[in-house]
This record gives sequence, C-alpha cells and structure tokens, in this order.
Amino acid sequence: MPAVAAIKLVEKLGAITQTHQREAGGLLERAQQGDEEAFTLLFERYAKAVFNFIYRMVGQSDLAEDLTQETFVRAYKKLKGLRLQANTQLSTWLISIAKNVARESFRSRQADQRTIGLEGVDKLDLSHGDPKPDEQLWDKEFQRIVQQGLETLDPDKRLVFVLRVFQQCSYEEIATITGYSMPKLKTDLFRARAEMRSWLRPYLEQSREM
Amino acid sequence: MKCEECTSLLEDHLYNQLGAADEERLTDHLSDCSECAGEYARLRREQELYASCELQLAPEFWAGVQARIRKENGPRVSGFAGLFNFRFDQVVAVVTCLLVVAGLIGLWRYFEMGRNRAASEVNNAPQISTLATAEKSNAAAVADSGKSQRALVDEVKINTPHWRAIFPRPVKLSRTSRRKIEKPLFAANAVVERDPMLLAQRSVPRDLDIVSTRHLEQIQMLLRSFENGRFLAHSNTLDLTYEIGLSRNLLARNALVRGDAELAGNIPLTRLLDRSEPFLLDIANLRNNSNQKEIRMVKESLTKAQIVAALQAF
Repeated sequence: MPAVAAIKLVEKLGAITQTHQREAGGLLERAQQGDEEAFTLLFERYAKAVFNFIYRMVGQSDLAEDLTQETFVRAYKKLKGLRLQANTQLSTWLISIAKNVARESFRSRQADQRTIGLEGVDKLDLSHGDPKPDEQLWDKEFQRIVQQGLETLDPDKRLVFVLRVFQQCSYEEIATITGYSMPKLKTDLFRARAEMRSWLRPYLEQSREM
Repeated sequence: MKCEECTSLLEDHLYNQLGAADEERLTDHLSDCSECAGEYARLRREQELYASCELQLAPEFWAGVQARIRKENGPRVSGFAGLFNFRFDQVVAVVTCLLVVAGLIGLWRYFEMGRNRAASEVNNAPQISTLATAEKSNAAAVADSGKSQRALVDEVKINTPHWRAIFPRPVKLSRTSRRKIEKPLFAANAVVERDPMLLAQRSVPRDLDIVSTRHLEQIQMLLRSFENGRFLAHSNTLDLTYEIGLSRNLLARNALVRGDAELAGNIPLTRLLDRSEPFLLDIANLRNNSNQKEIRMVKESLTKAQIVAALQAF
C-alpha cells in the first residue's frame, strides 16, 4: 500500500473513531438524563461481554442472565452521577459493577451452600453458525471442562484470568477493575494460566488432533 | 530482543495491545526464534479454544432489563413514609408517626416522674426520723415544714387530672415568692409551739377522712390567697367574686365537717374549724366592690390570728 493511501486510511479511521466518541458522548448524556432508549443503545454492545464475564464467574447461565440484568439496572441507577476519568472506559466501569454483583451473589450462594452446576448450558445457542452434531457435542463438553477448570481456581486468580483471557482486558484495566497491584495480577495470571493449561492438557491434545 | 522479554510480551501481542515499536521487535524475534514462535502458537490455539466458549445472550434480555428499570422507577412514596406505602396514605402515616412520638414522650415523662418521686421518698426518710426524735429543735421544725409542703404538693397531684400529672406545668419561683411561701411555714411552727392542743395533736396520729382534709385545704388556700392579695396601683378595690362565692360554700360545708369531727371526738379539728369560721364569714360578707379599708381590716385580722399557719400546721 502506498504511504499516502496508508496515511489517508489512518486519518479516515481516526475520523470514524472521533464520530463514534461524539455519538457515545451524546448517548451518555441522554442516558444520564434518564432516556431508556439511549441507555439501551449505549450499553447494548457490552451486554454479551458482561454476560459472559458473569457466567465465567458464577457458572450458571440462568443466574448469570439474572445478574447481568441486575448489573445493567445498577448501571442505570449510577449513571447520573458517573464522571468517567480520561483513561477509564465505559466497559471497565460496567465490568467493575458486574464484578461486585457476581461477588455478592457468590457470597449469598456460599451462605445457601448451593453447588454450582452447568444445567443451563444445554439451553444456550453456541456462537458458531450451524455446527455439526459432533462438533456441537465437543463444544458442550469443552464448555463444561473449561468451567470446571475455572472453578478449581481461587477467586482472585479466576477473576484475573477471566478478565484477561475472556474479556481481553489490558493489565491497566484489570488493575482498575480489581484494585490489585500490577505484580500481583501478573503473578495470579501466570499461575492461573498454568493451572488451566494443565487442567485442559488432554483436551488441548485432542483438539490438535482434530 | 531476548527470549525472556519476548515471552513477557507474547500476550500483549496476542491481544493487539503492544506499541508499534515493540510489535516490530517482537515480530522480528518470532521469525528468528522457533521456541518463542512455538510458545506463541500454543497461546494462540488456547485463546481460540477459549473464544469458542463464548455464549450468546437471549434476545429478550433487554426487555427484561427495561422492565426492571421501569419497576425501580415506579411511583412510590420516598423516605420513612414509604414504609406505609402499601397500607396507608401519607397523611395517615404522618399522623401515626406523630401519635407514636407523643406516646413515647408521655411514657418518658411518666417514668421520669416516678423516678423523681422515688428519689424524694429516699431523701425524706432521715428527715422524718429526725422529726420523731427531736421534736422541738429548730432543725426538726425546718424538716417538718418541708414535709408539710411535700404533703400538700402530693395532695395537689392526686387531685389534678391525669394528663396534667404526666405533663406537669413547670413552676419557677423567684426568690421573693419562695420567701413568701416559707414564711407561713415557719410561722406555723411557732403557732404549734404556743398552742398545747396542736402540739399534742402533732404527736398523735391523725385519722382525717378525705372530705375533712380537702375542706381544710380549701379553707387554707382561700385564706392564704386573700391574705396575699395585692391592690393594683391604679385601683382602689379587688375583684372578690370568686373568694366570696367560695367562702359561702365553705361555710355551708364547715358546719357539716365540724359536726362529723365532734361525733368522731376529734377536738383539735373541731377547734380549728371553729377558729376558721369567723374569717370565712368576714369574707362572705364582703361586697364585690368593697373598698381598701374593709378588705385591709379582714386581712389584718387574718394575719393577727395566724389562722393560715395553724391550718397548714394541722
């Protein structure tokens, strides 16, 4: 690609990003004034990420959906007083709320002594368009194994691992959400990754063969 | 770039979070180092597998969120009145709150009054014993006057309505007023000292019925208020309508109470009622617009006879 065309493409991308930011700013303002439609438009794009994050933390799809709704209701209530700092994104703020919601639920469930299961997985559509039956079976099985592996991690490690691997947050964002120091979260992530790798080794080998 | 540094940057490279300079250096290193390239390939494969685990959200999710938001924003009474949201309206809630507060204050005052009374009883105990052992001493006289005063206060409390007992009107006495009240008490002791019959009566337990006690108290109050009545600067007379009416009533009752006292053999009471009667008559015979001279004459005779003190001591 010629240099001039590349520069033009970068400028165009920059202009698109600025437009998006302006639109998002307008939506945020409207949502802060109590406009439900603006709120929905603004947060629609984060719903799947928040739902997946909560699901990885609690392990039950029905409960995760309920807690995701709770997260957005809380976000709606807190939105009026929201003053985002320059380096903080809306998604980070939302995931922080989701983390608190999931943690509260985890504590209350601990009190109830209920075990975490995966009974909701069957009802869910998988992200693939139209997978073959054996692939679908493999996906379900892998879902179950991954979730079991996550449950073997201690809560701090699980939180850091989910944020990094499933949400693809940067270290800075993880530090903002969790409040952990950089060395701690890097250590936790390294250990969690190693534990998950050893947990999934047979399946990873199998997937390579497939 | 060394392998160690490359390993630490692999994740950022995977998630496109590396700066342009680091990105270039890392790409160069990966093309040269098969070990790091293998590590990166493993990382990428794992990431692809994890990404395949992504779940989809149900389509009706946002409808649920919006329903919950609308439920949260629904009309409701805020604050404390919100507690009564489903049973009462706001006015009833406020009235209920006020009644509860008034009830609590009433209870508090009631218990406080009880506590004060108990405390005063404890304080009275040694004074009564002093009275029994040293009847004629000045200290005993002071204690006795105190006791009489308290007895009077107790009687007034008995005859006041219940709500007034719970919410007593605060009384603040000036130094002059206190002197005025204390004077007759000391004078009463002097009268008792001089009168052998009353002195004897003091050591004898008196078995007065409630009618006689009330009657004596009313006479005493009437005579005292008459004695202490002051003329206004610009007026030559006093409004005596109430005093005259009351003295007439007391005169009529005096005959009955005295008859009962005679039958019961209560000679001191009979004598006291006999002594009080002329003063009641004097007051009953006054006119509403009696002049200063007439009123002063009755007042002087009252003061001379020290009848108020005698009644109080009794």
